[in-house]
Amino acid sequence: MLKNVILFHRRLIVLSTLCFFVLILLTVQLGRLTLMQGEQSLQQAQARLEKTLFLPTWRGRILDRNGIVIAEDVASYAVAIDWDVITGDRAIAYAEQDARAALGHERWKSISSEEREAIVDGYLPARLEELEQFWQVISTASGEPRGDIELRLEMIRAEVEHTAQVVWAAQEKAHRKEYGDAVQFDPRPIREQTQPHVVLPMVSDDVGIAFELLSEQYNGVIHVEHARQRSYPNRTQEVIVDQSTLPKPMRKYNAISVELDDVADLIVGEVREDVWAEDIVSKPFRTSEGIDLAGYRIGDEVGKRGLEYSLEKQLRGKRGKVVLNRKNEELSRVPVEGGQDVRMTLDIKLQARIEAVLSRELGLMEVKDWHRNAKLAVGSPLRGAVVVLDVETSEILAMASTPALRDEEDAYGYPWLNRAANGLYPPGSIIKPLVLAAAISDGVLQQNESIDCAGHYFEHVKDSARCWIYRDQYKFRTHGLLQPVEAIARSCNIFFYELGTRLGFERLLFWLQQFGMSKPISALMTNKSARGTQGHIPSLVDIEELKNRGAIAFETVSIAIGQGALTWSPLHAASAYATLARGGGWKSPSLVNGMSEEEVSIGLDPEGVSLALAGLKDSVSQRYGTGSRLRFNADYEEPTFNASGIELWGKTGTAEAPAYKLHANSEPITGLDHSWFLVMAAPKGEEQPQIVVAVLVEHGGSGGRVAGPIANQILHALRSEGYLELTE
Amino acid sequence: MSIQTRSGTKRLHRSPFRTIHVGWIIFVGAFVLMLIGVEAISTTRPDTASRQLLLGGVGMICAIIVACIPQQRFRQASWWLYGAAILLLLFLLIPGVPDAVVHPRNGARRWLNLGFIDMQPSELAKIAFVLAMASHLRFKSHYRSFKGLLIALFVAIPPMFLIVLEPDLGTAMLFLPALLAMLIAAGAKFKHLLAIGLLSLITASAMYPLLRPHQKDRIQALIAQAQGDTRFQQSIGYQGARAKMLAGAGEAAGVGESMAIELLDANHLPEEHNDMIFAVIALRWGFWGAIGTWGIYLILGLGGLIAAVGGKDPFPRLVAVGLTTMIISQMMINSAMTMGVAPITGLTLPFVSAGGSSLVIAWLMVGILFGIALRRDPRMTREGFHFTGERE
Repeated sequence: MLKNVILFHRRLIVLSTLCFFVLILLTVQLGRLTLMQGEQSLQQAQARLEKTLFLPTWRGRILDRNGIVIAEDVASYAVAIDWDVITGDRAIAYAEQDARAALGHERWKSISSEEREAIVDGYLPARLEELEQFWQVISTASGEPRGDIELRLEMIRAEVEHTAQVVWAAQEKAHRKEYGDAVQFDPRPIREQTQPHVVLPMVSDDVGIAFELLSEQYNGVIHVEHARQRSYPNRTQEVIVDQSTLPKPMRKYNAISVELDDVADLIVGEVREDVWAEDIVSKPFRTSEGIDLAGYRIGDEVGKRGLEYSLEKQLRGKRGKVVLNRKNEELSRVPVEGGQDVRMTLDIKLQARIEAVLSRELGLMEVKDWHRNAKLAVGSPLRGAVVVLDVETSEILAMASTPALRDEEDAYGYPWLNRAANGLYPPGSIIKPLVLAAAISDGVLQQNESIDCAGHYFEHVKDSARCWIYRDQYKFRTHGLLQPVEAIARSCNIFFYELGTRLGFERLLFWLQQFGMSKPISALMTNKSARGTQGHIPSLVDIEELKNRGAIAFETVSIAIGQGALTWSPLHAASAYATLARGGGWKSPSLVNGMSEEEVSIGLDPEGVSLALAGLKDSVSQRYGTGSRLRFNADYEEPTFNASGIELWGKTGTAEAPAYKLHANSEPITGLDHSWFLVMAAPKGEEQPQIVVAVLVEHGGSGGRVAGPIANQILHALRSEGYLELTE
Repeated sequence: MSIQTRSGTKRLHRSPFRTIHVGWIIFVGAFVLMLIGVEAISTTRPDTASRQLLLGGVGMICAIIVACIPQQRFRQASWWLYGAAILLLLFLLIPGVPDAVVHPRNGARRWLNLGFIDMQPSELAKIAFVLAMASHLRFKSHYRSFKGLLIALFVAIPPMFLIVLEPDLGTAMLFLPALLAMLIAAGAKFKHLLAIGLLSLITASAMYPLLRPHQKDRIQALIAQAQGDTRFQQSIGYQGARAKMLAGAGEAAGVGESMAIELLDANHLPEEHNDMIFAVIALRWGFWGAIGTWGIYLILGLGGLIAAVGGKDPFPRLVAVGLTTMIISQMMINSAMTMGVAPITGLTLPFVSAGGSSLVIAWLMVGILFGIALRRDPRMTREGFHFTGERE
């Protein structure tokens, strides 16, 4: 058909066909872009119409039980300077602008980069001079010497440079992994290289205002930021201690002032300003689903230790979010949620007094000649812990551990360990009232039944399983026939060996577990759903192995007096005593207000409880009670407790301890005992204890002599803070 | 005055000018495209848009003047114009010419400063090339022989080579479709065309080492983009990725003016008023708007071809085909680069993109096409390329 058409026309038809073919291809591509991918592209394009600002939140306060602020976020000013001013690049940029302006836009565009550089160099000295003047102004306004500021700048530069190297190295590695060597890796400025850096952190209000004014003068270079800083307002406390109630050799009739600079620091802890990769991984700000306003971002405060760490979830707030359009009009807003305030059960004033009791200045926590410590030299620092627990609520009123962070004399004594909650020790004799109550409850002992103390428990073995007075230093005396109450007061081992045997290994362990031994108490203080175990009791495997070895009988009697394979913390001890004082109602101790829980009965016979309490009372009130008197030497003794108007229940414990080391490289010293003193108190005339005090001194020796005076001082401290007052 | 013949009455004297002719369609098409351009430019740059309208007026006046020039004058002037264009292109490359005369932008030396306007000799070279080529190919001995075609190729190479050196790859590449279209229209043998095609391909690839690094980057970015590789989106492929996204954001019917203003403001697209104007069109008026714009080009292009058919003389025929191909292929390459299927080479969308010399030259082309459509051939003119049945 086309044969009839002249060639030119045919050729034009060919051309048109070619053209149509290309247009169809273009239409297909246009359709792909607009019709298929259009929606996504539109979203992508529209995403840039809005900008999102995140409003800073604040961390909740931590208060003591009386509402005194222990930790809070305070506003302060920080002065930040643009990164390119810190590096001096801004001077080069300005010099280039000068050169550009002098040359004219057209000329500038037409010359080579080498020529440009040469021209810029001419303008540089003046601009560098200007930069130096700027730093002089900063120095004058802040009152910091120019040299100090330069040091700070050096630090920032070095830090950013280092960060950039690390980031680039990681990026290049990822780049190589994905593209191999085919594509050149092009490092781009990291975030730190585009934003201002804080040159003067935490400046005073006056300096902050001065810099606000300066920032108007220096357009956009100085940024006065409203920083939030965690502050611990009551961390430093001064305590006046009356020395007239100290044991006689230490007694003085004046009061001393003890300055404590980090009261409750071990409990409250602190925050860190550097967010770690782990934080961001655990709760990221940007997630695959979008943004988690409660997530972590660089610059956030993160709980580092103590309550700040364990209560991170409550204390941490939630950012706010404002979405603005291009004209800075607000489109939507999510308000800021500040962190929740947390009220502790701790009484910070009492805490301070107790930390003062344990302080070096007072001297109770060092070896005295009247301690009659077998191995440690007089004056050696002692380590230990105190817990004060409210019986009714099981709330922790105070909890102290020594050496504290401030105690430089004993820097090797693991000051970071909160011995009160996390130190684990063999219980020793303080376990005896619990065993008695258990024995009565199980019906293996009648309340007026007597057991004969012959000095040693196993008939033909005279050198082990002995009573504590069946020794050379006490002329191998024995207690003879003892009834339960007196057995506790005298702390007779034989009596409790017998109870242990009667209860049997499994029942003994059952009862100790009922009293909270091996419960994860330090975690339960702040988190009632904590699981796991804390401390040590023999496991089923251990028991099996003891039985096979034929050692079960000896282990049973050992455990009945708190020796053997048992450890717990002073907090465990205090909470077991509080359970006893409540008549057998278990309540895990709490450190945070509102976490007190219902009592759970552990099934104690009330008769057993009252016998145990009677024994505890006699122990600190009867002359023969192990906790009633301080015997300094053969000639002189005095009552352990000298606060008036208080009913007391108490028990000493002297527990065989593992080897003592002053520091990592020193010779271990064996054969020392830990000193325990558990004392419960109530106002005069009350029949139920109201407060439990647990005192532990590591390797201190005699519980009564070493821990007793400390317990006495704590009772005075309680009185000074208004506890144990008679209520009319 | 008329004469009776057996087949009817014929007028003895005919006016050498037509009143109703396809030139009007071309003119109106170009005018509508210019208006679309002005509106699209005003999305982001209202000032440029009014300037564009003014330059459009200048272009139209030029077009009318050019339309009045008889074809013979063009034919006579064609080689002189070609020579002049080559000289101007050479002048741009002479080192040491003051910036006031040769106006460098972003390191490229493409512009001659004429005082009131910057002129691109390469734009002029496009027309000169078409005229010279048409002048050469009007003889059968040239277009039907391989030797003649080789000469044609060698006519094309000097301006292309000089333009690539400026550097202006996009404009240089436009010469190839124009050359090819004119050869096809002239009736070159297909085996010759194949040979020429291969030669052009070799020439084009031989020019690759001449490319500036940024041009190679763009080709690399295009290949990456087509493969769905996103790693260049923030660097060498930035403009391409943005253009694709914004063009796509128009969806079927476009986002309208106010949203387009906001989106263009928020998503910075370099050269959005100029080389990337097609993205603005697709964004504002969507798929259908873009198709409509192409449709107008198509009408304009068909008009150009009909103008070619309307004459008998080989020279205007080839000129019409060459100029039409220049316009249409420039539109296609520009659209293709905006949509991410051709490397971004700094080529305008004729009549639509902002830019003085591009618009004026486009109107000049319209003027020439109008002049061709306007004129009747003298009665005795032998029809050019009028052989049937011969082997192609």
